Amino acid sequence: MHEFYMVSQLVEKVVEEAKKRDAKRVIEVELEVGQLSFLNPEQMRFAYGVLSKGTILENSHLIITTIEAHVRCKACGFDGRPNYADDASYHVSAPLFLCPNCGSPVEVLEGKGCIVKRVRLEL
Amino acid sequence: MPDEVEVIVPDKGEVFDIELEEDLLEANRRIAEENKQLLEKHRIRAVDVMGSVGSGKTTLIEKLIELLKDKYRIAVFGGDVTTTIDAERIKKRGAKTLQINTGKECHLDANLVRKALSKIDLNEIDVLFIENVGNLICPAEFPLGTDSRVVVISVTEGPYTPLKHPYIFMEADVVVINKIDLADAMNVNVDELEAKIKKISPSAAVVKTSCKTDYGIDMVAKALGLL
Repeated sequence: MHEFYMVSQLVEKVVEEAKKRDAKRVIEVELEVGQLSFLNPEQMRFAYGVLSKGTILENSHLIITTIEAHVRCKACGFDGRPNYADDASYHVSAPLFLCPNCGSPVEVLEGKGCIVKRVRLEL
Repeated sequence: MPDEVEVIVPDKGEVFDIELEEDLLEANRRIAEENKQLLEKHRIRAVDVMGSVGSGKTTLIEKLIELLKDKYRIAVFGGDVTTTIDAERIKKRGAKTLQINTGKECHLDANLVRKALSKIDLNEIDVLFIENVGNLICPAEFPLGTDSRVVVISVTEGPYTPLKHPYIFMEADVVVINKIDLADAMNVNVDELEAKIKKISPSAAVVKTSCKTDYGIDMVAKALGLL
């Protein structure tokens, strides 16, 4: 829902970096989107197309990598991926924040971010 | 021996990769942390109230004010896309209110809350309720710097809210199932609804309420550590 907002921040950030390095154009932007974030890659690509127009990012390529959820259990020390609800009513599989090993609540270590990993510039 | 260190610079037309590793959500989290420190400094307990449109967020806050107004000095920030309807309602209850209109955004963010915090006298407040924009998706991703986050849903939304919007529940410290007086009419089994929430968010406290009969309002206050 706030894909447009996030992508406008992304564009702003990349324009700033490109300016700093006096780049001629941006070729590629690599973004990591956590599986537990609320961002839809398809909508982000659409927003990127719209918001990059008329900037140094125009016609550049946006690569989005999805980062899987990673949780840790304080009770038993489990460190890994959470289980997912197999309930058909979810349609998208929803992560369960109970330890797959012992059933205690887990903490999320990875999968919530929206990280600009790398920008490829032509100087 | 040359005095200057030789510097290699990329040629014009050269392709250059920059590793940024910058989290776009980090800016909000940073401001949220500042808000948290500011609130702690003034010993203010702050609660972010999230939930769907019409789930009863404003009514719940009104009821909590009624219950707690002799014990605490309470302020409310009302977040909406537009209008001051909710803020006017809260004001009548005797709490300090400030409306935050997001204009177009689907959620409050830490920066808007920081602005609002600068507009009130923090020495005159013990408890702050921040009513987020009615939305079960976006607010979850933008912490505001509050001590706790509440998600309010109601039986009139039907039995599937936690299934359809699992992600917001994982951010919640307290989940309120409101309008339970209408459960029979809506053919919703409240215990099943609670089990679905518990599955998604095992550590959240789930409280069943009816703002019409005042059932469970004190339990919400207890779950928030205000009673």
